[in-house]
Amino acid sequence: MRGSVSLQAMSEATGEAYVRVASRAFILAFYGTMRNLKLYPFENAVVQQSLQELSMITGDLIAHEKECEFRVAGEFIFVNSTRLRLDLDNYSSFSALLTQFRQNGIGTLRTRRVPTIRDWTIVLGFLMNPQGADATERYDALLRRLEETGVDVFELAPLVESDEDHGGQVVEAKEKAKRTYTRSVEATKDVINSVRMGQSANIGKIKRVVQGIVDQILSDETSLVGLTTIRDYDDYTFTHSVNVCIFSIALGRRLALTRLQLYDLGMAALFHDIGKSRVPLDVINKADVLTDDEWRMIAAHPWLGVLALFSVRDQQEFPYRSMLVAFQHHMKRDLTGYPRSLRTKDLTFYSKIVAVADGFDAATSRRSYQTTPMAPSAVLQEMRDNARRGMDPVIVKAFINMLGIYPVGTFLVLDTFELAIVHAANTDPDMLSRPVVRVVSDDLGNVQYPGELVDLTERTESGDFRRTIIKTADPDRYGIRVGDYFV
Amino acid sequence: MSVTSAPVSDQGPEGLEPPFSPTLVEEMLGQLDRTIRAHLLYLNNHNNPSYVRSLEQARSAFAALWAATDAITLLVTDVALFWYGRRVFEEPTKATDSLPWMLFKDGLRELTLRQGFEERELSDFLAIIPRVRRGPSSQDDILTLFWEAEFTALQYRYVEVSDEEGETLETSPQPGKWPKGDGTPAEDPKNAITEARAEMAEVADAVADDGTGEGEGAAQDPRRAGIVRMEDFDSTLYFLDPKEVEYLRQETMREYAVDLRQVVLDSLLDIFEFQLDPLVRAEVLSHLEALMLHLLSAGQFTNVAYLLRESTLTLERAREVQPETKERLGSLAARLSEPAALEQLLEAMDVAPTLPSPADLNELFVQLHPSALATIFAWLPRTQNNGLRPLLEGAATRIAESATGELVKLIANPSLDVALEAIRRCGAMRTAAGVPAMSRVLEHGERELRLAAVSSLSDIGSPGALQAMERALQDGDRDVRVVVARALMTRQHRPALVKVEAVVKGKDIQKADRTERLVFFELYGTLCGDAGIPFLDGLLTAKGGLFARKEDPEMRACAAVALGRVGSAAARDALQRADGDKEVIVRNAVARALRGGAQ
Repeated sequence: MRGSVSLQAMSEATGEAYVRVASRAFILAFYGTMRNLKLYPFENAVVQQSLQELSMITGDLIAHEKECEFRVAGEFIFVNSTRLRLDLDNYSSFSALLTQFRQNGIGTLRTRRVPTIRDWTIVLGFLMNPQGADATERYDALLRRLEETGVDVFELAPLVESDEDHGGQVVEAKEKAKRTYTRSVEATKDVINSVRMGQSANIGKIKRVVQGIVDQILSDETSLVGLTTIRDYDDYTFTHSVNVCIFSIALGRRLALTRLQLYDLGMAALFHDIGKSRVPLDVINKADVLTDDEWRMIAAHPWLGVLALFSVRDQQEFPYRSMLVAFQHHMKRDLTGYPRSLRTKDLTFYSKIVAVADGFDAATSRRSYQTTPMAPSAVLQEMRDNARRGMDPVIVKAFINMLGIYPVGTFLVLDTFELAIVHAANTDPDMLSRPVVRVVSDDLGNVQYPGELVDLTERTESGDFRRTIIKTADPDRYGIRVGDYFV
Repeated sequence: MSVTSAPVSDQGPEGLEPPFSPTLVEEMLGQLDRTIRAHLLYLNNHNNPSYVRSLEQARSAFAALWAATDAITLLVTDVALFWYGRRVFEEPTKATDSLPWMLFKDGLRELTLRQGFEERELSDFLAIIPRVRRGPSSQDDILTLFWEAEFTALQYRYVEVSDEEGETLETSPQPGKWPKGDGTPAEDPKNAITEARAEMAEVADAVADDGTGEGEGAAQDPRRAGIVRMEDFDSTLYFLDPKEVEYLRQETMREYAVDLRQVVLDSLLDIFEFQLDPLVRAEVLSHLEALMLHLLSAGQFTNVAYLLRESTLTLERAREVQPETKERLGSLAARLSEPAALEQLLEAMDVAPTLPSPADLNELFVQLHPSALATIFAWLPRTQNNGLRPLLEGAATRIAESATGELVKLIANPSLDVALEAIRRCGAMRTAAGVPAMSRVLEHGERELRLAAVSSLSDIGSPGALQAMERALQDGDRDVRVVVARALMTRQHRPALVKVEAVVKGKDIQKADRTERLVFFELYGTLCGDAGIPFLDGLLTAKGGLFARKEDPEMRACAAVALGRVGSAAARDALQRADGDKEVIVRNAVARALRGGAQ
């Protein structure tokens, strides 16, 4: 059904629009066929139909463009030189294909002749059941297996970039992420302190910072999201604001917001707690249990944020969107929560996104009036199951999809009795329980730094997973400083 | 593509010899500047031949440059652009139309243009310029606009006002481990492994006891800390279903469709209502006042109207509002209605290139204090904007309808324009309450006002109005008298007969011009009935005796017309007797009167 819709859309498009429509159709057909092959036997009508559609779409692309090339570069996918844009109905297939190609060490898959259904069945089967311990071995095995089965319609090229963390690009990206993070915290501190002192804030600097975060998330999400695990870099209010900004933008990206929309969202997220600049510091930093009056002061920060943002003015325009997010981020879907409002009819979309990002970062952080942070996986479960939190379930679902069941920074015990920290979520939605982790201790408890980066989807020769998570643990309890592994 | 802040020298790599003549760069920049100006000049018509030619010339200038290099990097100062230390473009004034200043003011310090810029990105670059030059009301700085455009053949570097990097992110002295002695002593990581091993063994035992691992033992599997059960996440995993995808799409659209300003107003009013602290309320009020001004200048009239409406509601509901706060919030509409404030608003609308919608304007004007009426009336004759006039008229009518007292008061306003408009509107609205004020105008007002007043009184047509008009039959101005006479004739106001008779029988009628005489005789004929025939017949035929002097033919013609107005058989008899009069003017008047009578 979807294939025929895609083919119709392809037939109606011309020029550049054709390439965009066809590329999108190709990705959806490619991934859809792989999923169907995983779920049903080869003879199943659904599988046959999706193979046919994939073949037809490929044929159409070749007829128009002389070739059909699928290429992976960094976080991007190109079809015939057109970079695919993430969208709501392609982001999961996008992520899954990216992972599949990386795991198989494939940088490019190209064909200039229309592959038969047999050709597609074989190559997809090999991709889904790779042989070899690492990407290089799997790539070599794939070439060999294709040759053995006589499938010569596909031209393959290996992945050029390195997945190893010591690779130049990765190190550079990490440094860039660190720079972005520290500058963001510094700029946020500047603004919040300016507001605290009743001075006007440098909004231009904040704009550059948010633009930097958006660019960083779009090019290398992992490095920046990893830095949110650093819990002692600066005052909680500053790092929390930056973390919420990072989580919101990363989530917004999964929700297919445009670059400019991500910028709007990021600006609002960064300012969501600015009202705390008007709460006395001794209340903000109080380590003991808060009195009722002190709690009232803390609970005033959403509406104080609205007032504070009147002094954060962008030339002649007030930051209306940020004001609303500041006002609404502690309101629940049924409009309970705080502050009280008679006039709010519905929470804004960005308020709901920031509420999720804020709830997650706050619950997983150690701060003055919360000495024991919750495990990230437990927080996600709570956010999903506890309706009283009043979060938007669809946004929570997308958030869990983004972070995985084991969010970045989660401390794990593996069945090898190694200790590990989650480095990145698996982009394949089928493998959310198998993130990429950094092993930080051997099975005797000897702490290692920087530790080896391993993908929990890796299998042994016999097809079993090499490592599986058996439980999460509290890193602080064992003196493990998670943030160090992301710096 | 941007590169973040980096220190740059003022004038570039001085001492280095440029690889080719700076003239090429100068010519390109000169042409680019001209093209920018043409772009602004023909903003609404980019098919204009001059603009198209300018664009082609810019592309040619770039092409000439690319013959010598693939890219050029320019250093940007407030008044000039430098290339290899040479000043290649200069604009001494720091004005919004200065290319260097436009780039410099938001922090841009270095600009690199690459081959292909003129083909792929020049149009996008030009499209940004009007947004930058919109001046202080623009919410976008050039760096944000460049960032948004995602240029590939244009790169830039910028500086920030303050450029602290912050502390660097460093690992602890023993990377991976918290420094010792800063809190609760940590357990040995070995313990985590020992604990996990014990738990695994326990699970293995439970499975062994159960036999299958799927029986009661497994079902009652106690939740161990830190163990994530995949089934807990089943409903959350994998894809968003089509309904959820559609929901998110709708939510994104809603985020950008919602009127943010109104929701912010809501937030402020909520804060006002729920926070009893007078200082907080005073701050909210100052923000509301600032916001109202901002909304007015941005033409957001619906929002201003909303604010004024909700302010009233807020005052009704809010508890413990101090009198001065109450007065301040309650007077928002009154303050906007003050002449100085309202004149600013009308002035802005008068010169605005696009007008607010009638609905928006009405929303606002309905909220205004009736005292605003005088300012609107004063503005009406002055407005240069033909589109604005009917909108203002409509809005003024609505205010006047809801505040007739104010309208009547304005009849006595010292401003001629205001009083005139008030009189006209009283007539149009048939406002009987305005009659006494208009009567006074007829007695003492200026000629223009008296004319308007009789017209309005005639429209009102009430006995009081007609009585007031009667008195104006003796007005010193001929035009007023004529208008009154015509109005009374239309209304067939018999009580005026005595005064009309005095006029037509008086000596002054001889001095009146032909039109006035005619109107008064017509009015007399309309009111007098058969009782007036002897006088009219005598005037027409003048049988006063041998030496009796016949009346002036024009007067006789007027008498004929009046008899025609009487229209009775006796009147016709009198007319027929004069049929065939030797005076042409009389004969014609009689003939017309008879025809009219026959009809």
